[in-house]
Formats: sequence, C-alpha cells, structure tokens
Amino acid sequence: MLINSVILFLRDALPVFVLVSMLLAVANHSQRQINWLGWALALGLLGSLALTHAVDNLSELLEGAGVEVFIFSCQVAMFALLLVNLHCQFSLRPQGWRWSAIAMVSLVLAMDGANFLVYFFSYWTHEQTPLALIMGTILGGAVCMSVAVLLHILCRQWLAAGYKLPGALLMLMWGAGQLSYALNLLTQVDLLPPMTPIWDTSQWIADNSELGHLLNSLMGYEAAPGLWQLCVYLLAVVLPFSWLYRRVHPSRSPMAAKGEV
Amino acid sequence: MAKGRLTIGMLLVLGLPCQAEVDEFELVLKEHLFYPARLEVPAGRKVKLVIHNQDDTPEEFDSFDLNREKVIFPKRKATVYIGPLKPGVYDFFGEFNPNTARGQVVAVKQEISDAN
Repeated sequence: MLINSVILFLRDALPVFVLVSMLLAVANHSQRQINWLGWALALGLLGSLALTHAVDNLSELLEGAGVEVFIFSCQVAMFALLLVNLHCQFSLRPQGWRWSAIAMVSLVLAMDGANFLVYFFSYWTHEQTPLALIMGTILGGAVCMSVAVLLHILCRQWLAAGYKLPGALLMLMWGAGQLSYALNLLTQVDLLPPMTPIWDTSQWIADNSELGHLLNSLMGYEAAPGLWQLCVYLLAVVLPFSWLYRRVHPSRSPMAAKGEV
Repeated sequence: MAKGRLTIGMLLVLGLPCQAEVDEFELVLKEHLFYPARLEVPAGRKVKLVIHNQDDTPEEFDSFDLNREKVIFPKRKATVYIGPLKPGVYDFFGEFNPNTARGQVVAVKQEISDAN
C-alpha cells in the first residue's frame, strides 16, 4: 500500500508541482512577489475539497459522462489561461500574469487534488493504520519536490541567460499534454469516436514505468497516442510557440525577411 | 446557400460519433475483486463495459493496455467504452487496490456464423 500511495500521489501531484515550479521561475526572475502562490494554493485546496464532495453526484450526470465532460471543460479553460499567462509574460503585463497564474494553479490543483483526496479519504476511513498512506504521501511529496526544484533551476538558468522561449515551450508542452489526456476521457464515454493508436512506443517507455509517469507529467507523453490526440497536441504547441517566437525574433520572421514589417 | 447548408449538415453527421448498436458487458467489483476476472469481448468492435462497485469504498478502474481510467463510487456503476481491440489480452486493475482487484479483457476474433 505504501508504493501504491507513492504512485497515486506522484500521478496526481506531479503536474501541479511542474506547473508551479515553471511559474515560480518566471516570478522570481521578474522579481515579482509570490503572494499569488498563496492565493492559488488556498483556492486550489478549497476547490479540491469541494470537488471531492461533489464528484460522486457529478459522475451520475450526462448519463455517466459528467466527470469526463467537467474535466475536459476545465482543461480547455486551463489551456486558455496558459496562453493568457504566456502572452502577459512576453508583453510584460504583471497584473494579467498574476491573475492567470492564480487561476491556472488553483484549477489544476482542484482537479488533481480531488482525485487524490477521493483515495486518501477512502483509505483513511477504512483502514485502522493509515501509516502507509502518510508515509506514501510524504515520499511522493519529496519526489515531486525534487523534480520541481530541478525544473525550477533549469528554467531560472534559461531566463537568466536571456532565453524566454525554452521555458515557454516547456509550459506549452505541459498544457498540450493535459489537453490531449482530456480528449481520451471523452473517448472513454463515447463522446468522441475511438482513437486507434498511430504508434506504440510502450516497449521503450511504457506508460506505467517511472520514466513514463515523469514524461507524462512534464510533457504529456503517451506510448500509444491516437490521431486526434497527436493533432491537438501539435497544434496546441506549434501555433502559440510560433507566435511567441515571432514576438521575440521579429527580424527572423518571413514577413520581416520580405521587408514587409 | 442551400448547398452550403447541405455541406454543413453532412459535416455534422459525419463528425458525430457512430451510434451503431454496441455490445454491452458487465463487471462486478466485490470485496476488492473483479468478477469475472477474465472477460471475453469481440475483437474489432467497440464494446460498452458497465462496472458495478458493490464495495463500501470507491475504486478506480484503470488499464494502461486499454488506455482507460474511471473512478467508480461505492454502490454505483460506471460505463466505459473500449475498443475496437485487436485480438489479444488486455490487463486492467483497481488503482486503489492493485494487489487484489485485477483482471483481463480478452479480445477474441469472432467467426462469421450468422448467415443472415
């Protein structure tokens, strides 16, 4: 049960740690106050408690597809907030950046936190010795913290060297991964047609391996993605990234090369 | 104008999920065990899996092979669509009790026996 608690905590908490570490790198580099993080965590925890309470009834809505439709809607909103956040970062709008960061972190924390809390409360109320659960949560938290610190240092290094784009690319890949995962949820309740995998790399990196979990949290890795998932993922990364690239390097854009800018 | 409407209508119809009849299979979760633990389904067709949780605790139906995960609350049922699957064995498990709640979906190629 200890290992299971670690795995479940990693699966649900790592995406939140990854997002917070990338946002904190931007905030620290721009010397912004970090009280936004306190608001985001408080709202996220409240949201996850409320969702844990409501998810039982939510799962009965829309002929059993209530949770999937809700998560998909939240992921779409989360990706829109991510685009707003990047726009505010690149156009130096600190207020917009702050509000979008609060909304994004609290939304992701509410969704992923509720998932873990369902397991946590169920185990806590039915087991006499919840030591394995507590130890698993602490160990999982330590692993998440380690990954987040490493990622934070990497992003800070890029920003300190004057490179904004690698961090933005990482954020887009993270957001696109969350969006692509949500598409699969619609397939499992028959709201999207079945997705035939276009390749299968599970022999190299399986979804249920440690590396698979890590890559999934970082950039939405899936060993056997469907065509829809791949198209959405690529569009969600390439289109905003090319726009940001042109903002940072206006002289290298094709329009500028033709002398039209 | 009418041609444009017709095109949009066709796109809508083609874009909607296929509503053809889907075979339904049932799984029961009791005392953290799946019954049946080995479920045969036709290969090459989408099937509907209805999972009944008869336990007092929630469970998450999870399968990396089938690419599905869904929480089923106590004394409730949940529906998951899987496939079309290639013939083979696909493992699934209960994420909250992975040591006991385990099972397999076996996709079997069906012979065309119905002459009609």
